[in-house]
Amino acid sequence: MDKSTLDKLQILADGAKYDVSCASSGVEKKNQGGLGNAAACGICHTWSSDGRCVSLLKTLVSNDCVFDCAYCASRSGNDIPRASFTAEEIVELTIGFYRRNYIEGLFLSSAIERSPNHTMEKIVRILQLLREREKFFGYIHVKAIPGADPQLIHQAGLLADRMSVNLELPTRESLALLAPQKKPEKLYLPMEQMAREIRQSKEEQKSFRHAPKFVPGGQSTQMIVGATRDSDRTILKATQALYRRFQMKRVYFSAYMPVNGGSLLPSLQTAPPLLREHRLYQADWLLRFYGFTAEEILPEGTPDLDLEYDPKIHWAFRHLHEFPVEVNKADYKTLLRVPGIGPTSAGRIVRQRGVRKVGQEDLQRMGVALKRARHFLTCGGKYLGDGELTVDAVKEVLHPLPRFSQVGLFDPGQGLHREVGGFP
Amino acid sequence: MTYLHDGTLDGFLTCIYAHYHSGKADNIHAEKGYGYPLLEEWKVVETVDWQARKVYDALEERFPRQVFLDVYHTFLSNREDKDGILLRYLVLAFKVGADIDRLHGDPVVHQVKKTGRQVAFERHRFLGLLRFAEMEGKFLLARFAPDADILELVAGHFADRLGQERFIIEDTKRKKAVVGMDGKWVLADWEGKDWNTSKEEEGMQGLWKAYFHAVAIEGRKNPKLQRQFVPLKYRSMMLEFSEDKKRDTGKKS
Ligand code: SF4
Repeated sequence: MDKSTLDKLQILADGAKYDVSCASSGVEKKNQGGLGNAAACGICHTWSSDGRCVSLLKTLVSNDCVFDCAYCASRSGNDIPRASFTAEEIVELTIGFYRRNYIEGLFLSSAIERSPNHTMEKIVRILQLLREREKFFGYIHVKAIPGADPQLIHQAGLLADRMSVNLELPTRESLALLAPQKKPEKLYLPMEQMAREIRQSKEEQKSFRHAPKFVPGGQSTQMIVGATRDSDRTILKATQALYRRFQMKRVYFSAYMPVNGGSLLPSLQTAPPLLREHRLYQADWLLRFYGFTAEEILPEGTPDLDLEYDPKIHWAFRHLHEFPVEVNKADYKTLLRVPGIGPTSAGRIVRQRGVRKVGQEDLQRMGVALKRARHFLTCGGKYLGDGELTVDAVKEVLHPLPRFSQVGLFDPGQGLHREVGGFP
Repeated sequence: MTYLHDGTLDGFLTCIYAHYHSGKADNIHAEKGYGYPLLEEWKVVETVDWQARKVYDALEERFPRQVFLDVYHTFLSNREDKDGILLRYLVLAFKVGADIDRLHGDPVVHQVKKTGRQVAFERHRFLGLLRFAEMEGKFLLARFAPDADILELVAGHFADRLGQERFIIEDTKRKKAVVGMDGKWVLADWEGKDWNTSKEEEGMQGLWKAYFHAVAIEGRKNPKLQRQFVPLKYRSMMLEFSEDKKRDTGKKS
């Protein structure tokens, strides 16, 4: 008997849940005579019981995979219920959910059903139905299936807001070990193509306002953390390379959740390394918004991020000689390096300075986290910390949160759906 | 002297005009909800459109757009003292000029910016949390009871988004609604009416609940974090939480 839409939704949404790229941000679009628009800031519609923001209908088209990646629940070797949506079923769900304001749009991923081309064709078909027949202007993120014909990826890119290929593992060796059917070259190819077409389309936009937009929300990717022995330094350097080489909008991390047994993988009892994932997201923010490089965050000889202190204050501990800095003199870039000051508060300090001196009492109202920041600041020549500036003295006052209270410490929802923001 | 207005933005702006042209105000308040304290002097200021317009134009011309937005958002807040903090802010603004928008550390400015941000945040939150149900006759209905008076602030977003659809967004607390169609909307006083949901509605709600439960990762369960994002007060309007509510109350009794 055929499965109902409800059965399929349960199977295929479940299969897509480890993909963390839930963002709906980065594109501002008005409705042009159909249904839907998009807000650049991204909109969360609900939060699931794991505390992650739900913004899109995130589903696989199919979980019937011909590949056998060791870390994946949909691998061909697993005996699990298999299902595939028809294009019409996905269209109906998307429109039905969207009209009721359950979602911002659609996120489509898929196992490799039959062949990469077959899978990508189906994704393109769904995009065409939504955009052309239904005149749907909401947000759509689709996977570029590695190995699919570049022409199909091109077609998809003209209709989707964002596209992604998941790298999953940061090195050739890890890929060879756990996903032998995936060659890094094959993964890079569609990334390369998308980066090129995005650049071209942006160029053309400059001369012709109506030139077609290719993936206006940019491309993203994801890496699993903790399925292999790769260090944070390896992951962070790979992240930086992805931003530089492919102008990625976002690199996501996903704490490995054991779903399969197997001698190559951590045991099924392993807890997902959530705190490590959290630290990597913080480091990623330092790369994107704070002007840090991967090498500054994790220099040679420091393979992993500290679990006790966040990477920004950890950097400050190693560079105490550069502090304290003067609130009323330090430039924006220098202010950004002060623990407890983020892009918003640094911006406010600089803006007010042009009109009026910044006083000590102003700082809190500007959103500076004084508990941290004061150890690294002078204000009008007066040092705001107490006594001498040493690592121990700062640690003494900060008393890190107990190591294993990782829950609640960080809001993956915030880190995930937003593309801009502050830092603790 | 406390100036009293009719509760509209124009009414408030007329009070600001009066502050400069017919005697200083120490405070401003809406007539509704004013306690008429014994030792306070008060005066009802009738709304005069052209006077309100003058103040509005001055805000537009002399200040960055953000200043008007901060004032407007703060005015919509449910803070009891919002008119008073706005009066102090505007007096300072007309003194220092456009630079007002850069004085992030000033206590008067901070209060307005903070309140304005809270209102803007509540609007942003409801852009996601508002839920429509399809009624018989195919129109969409959403009900909410926001803290700040943000109905007008969300109307444009949904009018654009829903395009040709006919929709109603009802603020059950303030008994008013936005009625929208073809990208346009109007504001109306509203007594809640009861309609029947369409035939398709229940099926779609069932699919949504199933989806909502399927996306959660069991091994990362974190209800505390979830609660931080979706405070309990919003959950009654969100159908994906309807079962949780039963469970929660079950535990307490
Ligand atoms: S190709 Fe994708 S769906 Fe298939 S086994 Fe590998 S990771 Fe899983």
